[in-house]
Amino acid sequence: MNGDARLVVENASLRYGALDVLSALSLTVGEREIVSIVGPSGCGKTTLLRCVGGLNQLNGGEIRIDGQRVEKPLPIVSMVFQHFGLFPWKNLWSNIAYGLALKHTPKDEIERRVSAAIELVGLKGFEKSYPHQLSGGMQQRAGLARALVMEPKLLLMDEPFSAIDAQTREQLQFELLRIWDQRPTAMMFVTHSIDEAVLMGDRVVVLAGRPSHVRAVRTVKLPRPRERSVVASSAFIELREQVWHDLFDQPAGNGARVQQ
Amino acid sequence: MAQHQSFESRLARFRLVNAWWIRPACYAVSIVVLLAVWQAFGHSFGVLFVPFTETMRRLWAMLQSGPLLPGLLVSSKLYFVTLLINIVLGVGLGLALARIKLFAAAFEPYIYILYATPTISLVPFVSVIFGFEFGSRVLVSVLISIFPVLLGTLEGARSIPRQHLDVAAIFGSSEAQLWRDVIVPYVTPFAMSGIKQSIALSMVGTLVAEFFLNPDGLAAVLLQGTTIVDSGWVLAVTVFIAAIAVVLVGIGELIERYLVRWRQQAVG
Repeated sequence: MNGDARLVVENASLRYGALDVLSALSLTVGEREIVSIVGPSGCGKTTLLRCVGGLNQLNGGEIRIDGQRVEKPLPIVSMVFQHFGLFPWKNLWSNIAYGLALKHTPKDEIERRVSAAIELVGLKGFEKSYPHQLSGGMQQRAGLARALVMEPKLLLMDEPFSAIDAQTREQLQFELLRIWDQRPTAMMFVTHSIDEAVLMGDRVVVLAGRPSHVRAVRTVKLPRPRERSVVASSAFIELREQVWHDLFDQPAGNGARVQQ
Repeated sequence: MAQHQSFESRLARFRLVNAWWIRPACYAVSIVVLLAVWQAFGHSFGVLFVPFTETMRRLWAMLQSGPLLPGLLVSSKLYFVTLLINIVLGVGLGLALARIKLFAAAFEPYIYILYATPTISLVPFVSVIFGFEFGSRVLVSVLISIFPVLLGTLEGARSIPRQHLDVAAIFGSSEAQLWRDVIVPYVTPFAMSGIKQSIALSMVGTLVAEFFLNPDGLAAVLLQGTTIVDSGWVLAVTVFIAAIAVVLVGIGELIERYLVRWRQQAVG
């Protein structure tokens, strides 16, 4: 882990009625660390992320960000949504400026920061466009810019590239890595893609079981900045296999089903 | 190659359907056909259903001198008061019902009861309790025409996607900011489509209220022709009212298009 923990999840548990979703789940994210969360669909990884964002409440345990207990959304946290979450009635500029405008930021500062964010994600020239005029990839670039412009201390990524076509997804993954290298910050990256989890993360946290708990934590020792060549490296492939087994091998004594 | 050709022909059809003149042309053809049918029907039917040309002649005469314009003046007042109440009360109640759960629990059933009740059947009660004056007319007219606005707004405000609310919460929106940035813009298209219907229905409401509560305005003019079975008179007044309604709905459409310009379809 690089630096002190920015995010601490301690003994988190969550129930929906009779359904136990999370139980005794603990993890940390460092100040300049990307932690990927993978798990089978329905394992509650997005729910966990929403709890960290303050959108859902835990039934037990605690979430702290920079020592501050999360009970509602904190201003130092930003989020990128799976389906982009742009407001269709705002143009790209206004969508990206949304968070700053809510905080009554001075106009010239909004101007400066939004321009920089638009430049950063490569959307210059599309400021006046409405979301329906843009491709999914461009919409998510805007979603990313909207989160980054807040200069968050913790960035929450809720399967941000899963609704985007495969080619654009790869492109955006490396662009996000490039942006992160310029301004490293704590990031919690929820994904259902093992490749993506390994590619993005400094650590990969594997959630599994019902209720979900941390089944394994894998440290990713791939060098940064991460170039496209890493996906072909033996270290990458080995790690991907490990995570795969973490996910799909049943623990012995639990109807053991060993997969190749 | 076959696929390529079918694409070409689909493209040609797409271009034709989207040509700027195609819609006005279809509109013009439909009007010409309608008028021709009317003309032929009128000639064979005689005085009970006069032809289009005769109707126009009568309309022109009634506009020169006659009760049409004074009647319009009286009806406009009721019409616009009705429409204004529909918009303010319909949108306000719709939002309140959607956002305040207890309010909805208490009042929503009554709204559907009123919606399902033929307003005409309430007219005697209205006249007994409130009399035959302007206020009673407004009440009847509003009861006839408010529901599209009310139910449209309600449906819109109830269907705000959770994701929009999540985004607002994550970026620290206050309740007032949530209304300004999310609820109002999201609900606007729903409310507008209700308002557009209400623009036409308010005309019906106005005429019905005038008809049944001590005839006045355009309804009185219409009634005058009906009692003496003067089909030229009645058709002229009807055409006059219809023309005004078409213009008003058209204006509503322009306002709607401006307010929800962000919802225009993507090109290509």
